[in-house]
Amino acid sequence: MLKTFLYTLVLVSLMQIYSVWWTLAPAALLVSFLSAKSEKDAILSGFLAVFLLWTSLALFRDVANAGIIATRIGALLGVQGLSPLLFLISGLLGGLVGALSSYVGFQLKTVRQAKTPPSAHYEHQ
Amino acid sequence: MKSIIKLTVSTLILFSLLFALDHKWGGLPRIAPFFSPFEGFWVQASGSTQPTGTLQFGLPGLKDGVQVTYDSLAVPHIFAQNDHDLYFMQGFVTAKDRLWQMELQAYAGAGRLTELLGETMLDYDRYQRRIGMVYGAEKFLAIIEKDSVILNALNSYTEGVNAWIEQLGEAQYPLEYKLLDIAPEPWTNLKSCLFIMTMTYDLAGRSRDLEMTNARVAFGQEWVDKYLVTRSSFMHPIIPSQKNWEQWELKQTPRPDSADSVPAVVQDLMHKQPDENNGSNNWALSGDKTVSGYPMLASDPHLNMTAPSIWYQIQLHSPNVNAVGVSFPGAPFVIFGFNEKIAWGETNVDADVLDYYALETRKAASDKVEYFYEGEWVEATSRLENYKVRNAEVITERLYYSHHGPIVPNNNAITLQPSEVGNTAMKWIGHEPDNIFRLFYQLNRAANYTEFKEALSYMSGPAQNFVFASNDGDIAMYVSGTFPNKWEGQGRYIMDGSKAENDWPPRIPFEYNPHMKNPERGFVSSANQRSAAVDYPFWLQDQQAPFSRGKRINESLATLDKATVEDFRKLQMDDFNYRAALMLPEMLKRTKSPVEPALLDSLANWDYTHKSHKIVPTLWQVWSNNFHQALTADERREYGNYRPSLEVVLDLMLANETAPWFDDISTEEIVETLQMQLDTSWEKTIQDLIKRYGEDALSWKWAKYNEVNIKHNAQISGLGFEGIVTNGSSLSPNAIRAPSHGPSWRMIVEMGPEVKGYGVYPGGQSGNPGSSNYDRFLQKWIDGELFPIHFYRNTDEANAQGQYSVMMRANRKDQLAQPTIK
Repeated sequence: MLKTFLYTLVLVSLMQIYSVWWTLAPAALLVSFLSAKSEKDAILSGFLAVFLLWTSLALFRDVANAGIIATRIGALLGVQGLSPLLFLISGLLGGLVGALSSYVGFQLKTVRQAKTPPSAHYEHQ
Repeated sequence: MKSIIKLTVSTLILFSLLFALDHKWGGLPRIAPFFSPFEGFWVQASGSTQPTGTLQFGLPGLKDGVQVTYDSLAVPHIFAQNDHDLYFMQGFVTAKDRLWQMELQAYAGAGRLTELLGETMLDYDRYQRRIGMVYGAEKFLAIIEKDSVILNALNSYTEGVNAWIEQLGEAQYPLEYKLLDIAPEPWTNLKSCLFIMTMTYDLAGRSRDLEMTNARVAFGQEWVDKYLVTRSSFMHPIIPSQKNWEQWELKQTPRPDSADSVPAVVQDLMHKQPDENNGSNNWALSGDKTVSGYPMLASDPHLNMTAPSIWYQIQLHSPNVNAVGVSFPGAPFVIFGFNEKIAWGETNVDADVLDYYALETRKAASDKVEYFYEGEWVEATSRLENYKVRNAEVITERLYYSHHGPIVPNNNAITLQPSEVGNTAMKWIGHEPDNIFRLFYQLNRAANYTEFKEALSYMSGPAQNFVFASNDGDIAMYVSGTFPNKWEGQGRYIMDGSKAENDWPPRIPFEYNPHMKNPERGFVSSANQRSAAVDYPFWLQDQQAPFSRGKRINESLATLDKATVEDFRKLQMDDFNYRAALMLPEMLKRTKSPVEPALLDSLANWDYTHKSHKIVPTLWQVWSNNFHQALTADERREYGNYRPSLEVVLDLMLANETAPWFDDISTEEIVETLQMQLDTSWEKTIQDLIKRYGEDALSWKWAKYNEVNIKHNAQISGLGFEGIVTNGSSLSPNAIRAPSHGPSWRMIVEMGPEVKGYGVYPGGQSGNPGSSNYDRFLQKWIDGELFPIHFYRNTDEANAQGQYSVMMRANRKDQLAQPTIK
């Protein structure tokens, strides 16, 4: 669990710093494919890694900015009341994509394991 | 099998989700990239504390090192070692703070908004193309290209803007780019010229030709002359009568026989009127009347206010210039400001420099059009216009030009079909530019009245009243711009475009433009009113701004002695309404309405100031509007929006005269008197106010009626400044008018060995809605206070007094810039 989570966090962070947002999907998918032990492991790791990454960076920027941009975006979207929580919305959005990507990675692994003889599978590990 | 299904389904969901979150749905931003803290709106969360100290920065394109010092208000002060680097850095730092605004202006000016916003902007874009905005900008650029000094400055500015764009990563794009999912387009010299065209239309794009022509048909020449061409008896012209006017040899162009030969009522001519309150105040007071013994100057341009502001504060310093003030994002130089020797500011003239000509046209071939001129068919030139509508097909239309100017197409509706060639041509000063960039280049460097005047000679349109004060002790006012030497009233009506005698005559020589220097009264002032006294030998316009602001300012200035900056500040914030002061007693005298006598009493006791917490100004405003409407609504159907003004009504009331149009022609049995019109419009006023604000008269406060909402420049909700409560009215020196019009910049300058300036605009230096500098100045502006304008004579002063400095090194081209400033 912790391993999948940490690897996802590291790889997704690298992809997010150097590339566009959706690269988090292949990154989470790949880590999950290689290291997830169960559906639960995949979903939780994928969700938490991206959720924490996006939430913490959004929160960091929000605090340093004294909430100025969050207030304006809240007003822009017509949800002024949610402005202080916008960082969580960012996190949940990222987390959702992370969880789903990890889940697909794990399913891919399951299908592959079912089709591949165990020996071949272990060579991959 | 089960796991294959799971894989297939989850993969499909994943891809759908990725697509849905990455796609731009309608007016929404792309959801995931917008919310990603790595690339979305969170990147706009700039730190809430100002940096301090010195930053190093390498920048390809510079010839030498440049220091940019930001003061505590985030205003950049550029110290360059040559003019190339100076204007390069002006472009660079302006783009850093205001790139989106520059982008939007460039697209809007060229009529290209459909490229960003889709088909809804087609109507707007077509109008811009039809009035020849790009055509005029190209002519302007051609003039600059013959002037190497100005061309170099403009090239440098463009290079600087592009240097900023080139180092900008996608994640750093301003918020609006992310909302609209677009990328910055490279800046060009033409875009700077287009911005000047936009200002020219805003300030010199008014035309009453259509309304006047129709009114003359409906009511006759005498009626029009008596009620529409007349001037208020309270008018204080900007330039009072001058002795030397009589000695001038050049006379007004005589009126030709065919002058009034277009009788037809023209209906299908669409002319978008710029805001009639686009105006301003400026004045200067002689050193004899100031506490310092040096002249003082004030200037506050009234424009439609937006977020971010049309103004960007800046200081420009190189070995041959040191000027400070406000600039236009999108153009080099300081536009309102001062240097170590002189100060200047502008107000609008609004001369009649946009005319329509009736033209007989015919199709000569599939894409050829001819028009009849001096007994012959002349071929019209043409331009092919392409509208690259976002997410739709390109629309193409061919627009034709006569020697007058663009031939206005008949069809004005939004349509995907190219329009038919029309029968009216537009003649506009915007298509006959001079070198306005040279004007500001020289003005920034001018040291005395002679150099000031020489700079102003480069003005074509939009004509401006330039106020001047200098350390030599001079004050002056110069009505600057190109005015054709028209016969009395030329272009008041649509003219016959087939006769050369109706073409614009050559301009009034610059020396003959109205102007004055060091008048005996000790002050000069302008508030967009009539440019010169009635005995000025040339004709510029029938009706300019109402007398109210100008009269108030002149009378206030006349009483000043040992004046201080505080006196000037109070006058800029003055909310006295002169029209109300003269007219309301006449209205109250005549009305016999029994409705709400207590409110009528409160009007009688009013001091004519527009204070936000009072309800009396609202009563006056709605009553006078309703009264005006009652007098003119019936006739108005015939002559459009140009109707006898309240100033004409005021003069008639004071003379106890009546006019045929006081009667409502729709009620045949009754002949309405002024008293009846006043009574009914007063009763309607009470009904209107109850309907709009409820029974409780305490909710009719002026702040409600005149609520100011400074909108984002692309009208994006949440990014503007809403619900502003201030004093003032469009007829007061503090000309704040709902919803968003008013003093877009207030400046006061005290001349002296150390020139001191004060200024404020509603907004802030940063165009980033996520920055504390986005609305930094707003509260001060609302409160009517000013910030000191920091003005450093050298880098030592800048280092000692500035907040932080950025040292730019001239990098070799192959070295990458390090974007270390935020």
